[in-house]
Amino acid sequence: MFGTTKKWLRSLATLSLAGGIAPCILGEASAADHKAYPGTLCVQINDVTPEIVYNRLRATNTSASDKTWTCPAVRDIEAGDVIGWTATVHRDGNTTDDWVIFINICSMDMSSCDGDSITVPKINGTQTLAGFLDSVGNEETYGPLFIRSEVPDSGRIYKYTIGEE
Amino acid sequence: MQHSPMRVLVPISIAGAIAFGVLGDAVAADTKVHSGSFCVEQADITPAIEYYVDSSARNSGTGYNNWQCPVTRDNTAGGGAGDVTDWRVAVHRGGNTTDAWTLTLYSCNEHGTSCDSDVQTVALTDSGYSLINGAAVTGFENGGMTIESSVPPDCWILHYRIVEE
Repeated sequence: MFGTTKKWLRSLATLSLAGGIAPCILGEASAADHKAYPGTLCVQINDVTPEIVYNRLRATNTSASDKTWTCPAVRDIEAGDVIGWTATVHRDGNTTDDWVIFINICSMDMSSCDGDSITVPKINGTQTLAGFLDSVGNEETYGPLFIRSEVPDSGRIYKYTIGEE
Repeated sequence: MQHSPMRVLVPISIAGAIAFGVLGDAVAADTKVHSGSFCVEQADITPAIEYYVDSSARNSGTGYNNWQCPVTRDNTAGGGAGDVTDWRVAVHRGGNTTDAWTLTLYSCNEHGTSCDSDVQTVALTDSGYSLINGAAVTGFENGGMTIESSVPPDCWILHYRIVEE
């Protein structure tokens, strides 16, 4: 009899703990969101015969001149504010052209956007750069979130990440 | 006066279970906004889809073109049910207010051979930005999801969002 009561208590204690801990775990997992996107999601704008070339994970500007790309993202509205973002890029020979990468989070009708930018140093090779977007104005407006950049010739984007919280 | 351990544990258990239910549902609802540049033209190696710097997409062709706008599904929404309760598409007709235009959300099995769907029509009078409201789509929660549309010339998809619960 005593043994049965003990088992009961043990089950109840386990349930209590599970009931208490599970929401915390689920809450954390769903609220914070950090998504990584391959560069192959990027597209060249204003051109139906683009010179962007895709390989595993990466996109390369094969044009002899700078081309503007946009790279889409999936906004997780429940996650809330964008807290940080990164871009992993590569310069291959062109170390003279300015290269700035922007992130924008816009209102639903696209009439206003918040933004941030990072500048790619003028050195050859692969670099991962980080930025922070203060999206106070547009985080609750159900507008889109994306990256855009005028990519120098031979420039590549391997990956971009966006953290929301 | 002494409280029995069971008297203490039972309320904690119930509170934990209730909290699990309430918080679990609250955090599991999922709203994802997708940039229009996720859309691609279907079955065409020389597509007329044109992307813009705000991550929108336009049909630059002279006739209708079929587009697929992929949806990132969250199968953990609603504790695994993942039903679509709402979907919306921000569109822009450009100068075209004469061609009929519909958008269909498909929720399909793994092979896309069987789907539930919801069709919405973009009004002919629409010009400029407008938001199309979709209805709930249930079923096939473990398959893929896409928005399909035969897009008239000079018409745009700015962004689209899916709410799962």
